[in-house]
Amino acid sequence: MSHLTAKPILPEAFFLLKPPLLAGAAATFFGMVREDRHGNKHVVKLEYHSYASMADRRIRAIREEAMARWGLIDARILHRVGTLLPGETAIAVAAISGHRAEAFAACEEIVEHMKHTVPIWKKECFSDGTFEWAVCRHAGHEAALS
Amino acid sequence: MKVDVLLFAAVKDACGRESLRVELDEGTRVSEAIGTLRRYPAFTALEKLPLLFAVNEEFVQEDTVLRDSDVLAVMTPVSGGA
Repeated sequence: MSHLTAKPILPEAFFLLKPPLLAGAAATFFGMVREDRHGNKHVVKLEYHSYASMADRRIRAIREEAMARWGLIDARILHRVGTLLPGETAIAVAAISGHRAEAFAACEEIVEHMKHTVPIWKKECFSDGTFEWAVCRHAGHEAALS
Repeated sequence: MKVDVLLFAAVKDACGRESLRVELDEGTRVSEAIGTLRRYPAFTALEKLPLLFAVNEEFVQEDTVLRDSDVLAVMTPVSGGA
């Protein structure tokens, strides 16, 4: 199953995925599109573009690394691509473990790696018809190559 | 040797295309391949953008040596998530 989807990510559907019986904790994260304001204009939509095959590979590697590092029972990662409106979910992560400390830590780590090392880009489209490619402040050669 | 070059996001917009095939000498490094492309008017934008590179879907440094049939992806720093 691909970790990228062009269909809406529904948090309630993500929650309904039945956790394994050994699970004692599930930490979840949902990243949503904000209606950011830039002076007199605001974001009306985001376009998420990807290098799909490489992005899916990177996400699989991130999942496997987190599973091993934190001893997770399961990890679920889904990133939306295509056009999203403010309020829609762009990314969903669930880290499932025996205890909460590992679940929280793994969930945060997965989200950080997703933002810095997966070839996905967002184009911010504004209310005045202009657009610009978002720049992740922490993304760079070092992050992507680490 | 032949190398397929894929352009993504701001790079794709700036160059007005998403892929091309280039003929390079054996032993050409990523930086040299990009230098060759920059000589063409359509690719002068490559000078202004911060770039990341991947070869065969793995991030690489620009001194990486390319091989025949490699797929070189040229992209700006990633910005996924919310």
